[in-house]
Amino acid sequence: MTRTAAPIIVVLAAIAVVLVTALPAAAQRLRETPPPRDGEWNVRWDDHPEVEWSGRLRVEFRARLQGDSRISRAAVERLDGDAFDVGRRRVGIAGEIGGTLEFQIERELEDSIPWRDVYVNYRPTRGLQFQAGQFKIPFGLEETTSSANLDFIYRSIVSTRLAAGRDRGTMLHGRLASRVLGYEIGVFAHDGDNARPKHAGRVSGGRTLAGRLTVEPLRHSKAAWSDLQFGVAFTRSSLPEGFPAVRGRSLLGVSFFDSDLWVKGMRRRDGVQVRWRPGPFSFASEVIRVTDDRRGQGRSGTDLQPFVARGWYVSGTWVVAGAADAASVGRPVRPLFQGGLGSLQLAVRRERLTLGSLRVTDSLSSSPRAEAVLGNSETATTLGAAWHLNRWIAIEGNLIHEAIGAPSVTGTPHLRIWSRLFRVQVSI
Amino acid sequence: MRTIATGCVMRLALVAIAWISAIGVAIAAPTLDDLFADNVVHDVRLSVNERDLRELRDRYLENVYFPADFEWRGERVRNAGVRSRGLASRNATKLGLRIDFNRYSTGQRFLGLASLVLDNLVTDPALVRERVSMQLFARLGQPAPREAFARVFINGAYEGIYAIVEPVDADFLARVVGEKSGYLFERRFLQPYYGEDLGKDPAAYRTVFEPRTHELEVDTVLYSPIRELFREANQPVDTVWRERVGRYVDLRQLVTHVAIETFLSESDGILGFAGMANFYLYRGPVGDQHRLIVWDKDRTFAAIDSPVLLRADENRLFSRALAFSDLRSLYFDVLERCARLAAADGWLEGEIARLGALIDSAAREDRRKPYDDEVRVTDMEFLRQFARQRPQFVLQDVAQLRGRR
Repeated sequence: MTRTAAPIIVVLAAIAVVLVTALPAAAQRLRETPPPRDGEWNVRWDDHPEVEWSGRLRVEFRARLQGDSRISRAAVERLDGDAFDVGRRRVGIAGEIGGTLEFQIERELEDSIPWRDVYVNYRPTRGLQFQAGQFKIPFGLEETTSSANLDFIYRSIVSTRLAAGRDRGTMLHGRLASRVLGYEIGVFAHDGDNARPKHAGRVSGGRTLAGRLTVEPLRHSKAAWSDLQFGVAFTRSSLPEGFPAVRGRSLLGVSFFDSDLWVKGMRRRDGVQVRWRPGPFSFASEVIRVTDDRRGQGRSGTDLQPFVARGWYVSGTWVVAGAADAASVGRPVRPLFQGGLGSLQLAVRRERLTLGSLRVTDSLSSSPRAEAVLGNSETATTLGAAWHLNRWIAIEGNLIHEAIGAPSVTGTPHLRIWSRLFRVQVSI
Repeated sequence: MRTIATGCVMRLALVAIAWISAIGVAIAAPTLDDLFADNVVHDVRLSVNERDLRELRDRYLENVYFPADFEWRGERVRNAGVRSRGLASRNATKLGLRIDFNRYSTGQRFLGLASLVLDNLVTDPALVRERVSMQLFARLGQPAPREAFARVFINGAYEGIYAIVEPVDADFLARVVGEKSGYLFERRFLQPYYGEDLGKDPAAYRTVFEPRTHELEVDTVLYSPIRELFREANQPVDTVWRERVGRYVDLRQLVTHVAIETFLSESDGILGFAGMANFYLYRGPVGDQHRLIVWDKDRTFAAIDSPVLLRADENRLFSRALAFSDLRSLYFDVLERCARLAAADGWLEGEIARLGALIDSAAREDRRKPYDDEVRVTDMEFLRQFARQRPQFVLQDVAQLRGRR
C-alpha cells in the first residue's frame, strides 16, 4: 500500500462511519413520508433519495464512491503494483415521467469518458419498450449487472475484455409470456466501449446489431429452480482494416497478448449465460466468443482464418449470514447498528480468457499476417468476501491468483501473480 | 511363367527407381554452401501483402518489420520478418532488405540461419565491389561474411539484382570464431568518429557501437572495455602504450584489416572519409580484447592511385599503432601480399570479369537500380583497370615508404 493511501482510507472510513450511523435514521424518516397528493411535491428515501410530484414525476438522486486498495506484484493499468486509489466517483439521476417514460443520466466525476448511462426508455407495455441514448449493449450477464451489485471487486476478464459495454443506440426490449421470456434487440453506433481503441491505429466494430434472449422456464413454479435463467446473446459489427482493440489484458491490466495482427470484415460476438440463485446460494456462468474476420490479410492477399478471443467464467456465492437469500445480499435483514451486523457473503470464481486461432493449420506465429496466430491465455481464480453493513455500504476483499501463458510455449509471456484487493463502497 | 517373371522384374525395377529417386531428393536438399555458391545467380522470392509493401516503401527510412514469405529453390519460410536496411543505401525504389526468419516464429531458421541481408547494391554501379572485396578479406584469412548474387522478386515482380549477405551475428561468430557467447558490436553511424576518448561514462560509446549480442546487459559491462580501449589509445605513445592498448584490441589484426581496406581503396572503412565506418567489433567471453570484422564494402575501388597512408593520421588508434615499427612493417607486408595476390594470374581482374559476366543479364534487367546500364559497364571497366594497375601502384608506394624509413 502506498504512503499516500493512509489518509484517503481514513477519510473513507470516517465517511462510512457517519453513513452507517446517521444515514439509516435519516432514510427511515424519509421512507415514512406519505405519497404526494395531486399538485404536491414530496421527498422520499427508499433505496435512493428521491423527489416526486403529483405521482407523475419521480426523480432519484444517486451517488457512488469506491476506494480500492491493492497489494499485487502485477503492473496494473495506470498504477504499478501496490496502490490505493479512489476507483469510482459517480453521480446520477434516474426517474420516471407519467408512468411510461423512464430516464437515467449518470456521470463519472473523473474519467476520460465521463458520461455513463444517458438514456430514455418509453414503456407503453411491459412486453414492448423502446430505449434510446447511451447505455449498455445487451450482451453479457455480468457486464449488464450494475457494478454496485457485483459479487466480486472486478468483473470477470471475459466480461471486461470481450463483452461489449456501453454505446449510443436504440433498442426494443420487453418481457413476454408472464416474464418467462425476455428480449432485447438494438442497433448501436459501435460495438461498445470495452472494445473501443484507447490508442490510435487500433480498430473496433462499426455499426452494431445486438440482441439477447433470456428465458426463465420455471419462473412460475415454487421450486428452487424458479430463479433459473438462461440466455443467449450476439452482436454483429462491421470491422475496418487494422489491429483490433480487443487485447489480452489480465484482471489487473497485465498485458499478455497485444493482438498485433490485421483484421478486416465482420466482428461476431456470441455469448451464452446462465444464472441460478437457490436460497442463500447463487451460481452464474458465461461463455463468450469474439470472432474477427481477417479478409484479404494474407501475405499474398488471401483470407486468413479469423482471430478469436474466447473465454468463460463460473462463479458461485453463499450468503453466510444476514440476508434472506443471495439475490438480496445487498439489503441486510438487520443492518449494522440496527440490531445486527449486516450481511456476509463468500464467493469463488474460476475463469479463463484465450486469444488466438481456433485451428492450427500452419506453424504458430506472432506475425501480423499469420494463418495460425500464436496466442496466449490467462486463467484466474478469485476468492471473495463481501460484508454489507447496510444497503448503502459494503466492504469487500478478494484474493486473486492469475496464471498467464504456459512456460512450455516460447514467444509469449508467462507469469503467475497473486493479488489482494480491498474495496470500500458507498452507494446512495 | 514368363509373364510372372517379367512382372516381378518390373516391380523390382520400379522399387529401385523410387529408392534411387528418394536418395536423389535427399542428396539434392539445398545447403548453406549452395546458397553461397559463387557461380550462381539465385532467384529469391518474397511474398508481402500489398499494403505492407506500400508501407515498407513509404517507411523505408525506419526499421519497421513486415511479415513475408521467403522462398529459394522451393524452400519456403513462412512468416519471416522483413524490413528496410542500410545507411546510405536505403532506397524506396530498390529496397535494401533484412530478413529475420525468427522475427515472428521463435526458433524458425532457414538453412540454419536466423537472418539474411539482401543488399540492394545501389551505391555500387558495377555491383561487384562488395563481393570481390569480401573475397579478398577471406583469402587473407580475415573473417568475412559469405555472399552470393540473387535476383529478388517481390510478389512476382522483379526488384533487381541483389547480394545475399550472411549477417554478422551469433551464427556467423560460431562459424568464423568457433564460439558465439562474446560481445558483438556494430559500428553505429550517427556522427563521424576517429577513435577519440569519449570520457569516463561507458554509455557514451553506445552512440558509436550498438550491441548485437547481450543487448540487455548494463552499459558498464558492455562498454567499459571499449571505453578503456579508446582511453588508452589516446594516451601518448610510450613504452607501455602497446601493452595497454593491446589488452583491448588485437593490434596486428587491426593493422591487417586496415591494410586490406587500403589496398582496396576503401573510402568508407576504418580510415573512411567520415571517420571509422562499416565494421563490427567482437570481444570474446573471456578477456577484454576486441577484434574487427569487416562489413559493407560497396565503396571500395575508389581510386587506383589512392596513397597507402591516406587519412592514416586522422585515426587516433591506427595512427599511434603505426608508430611501432613491427606494426608499420606488418601493414606494408599485408599491402604487398594484397597486391601480389591480386596480380597473381590476374586473379582480381579475373574475378571482376567473371562476376560481371555472371550478373550481366540480371543487372541489365534491373530497372530499379539508380543508374543506367551504361554507367555499370563503364564502372566495370574502371574496376578491371583498377585490378590491373592498383597492385603496381601499391607496391611502388610501399617501397617508397619503406625506403624513406
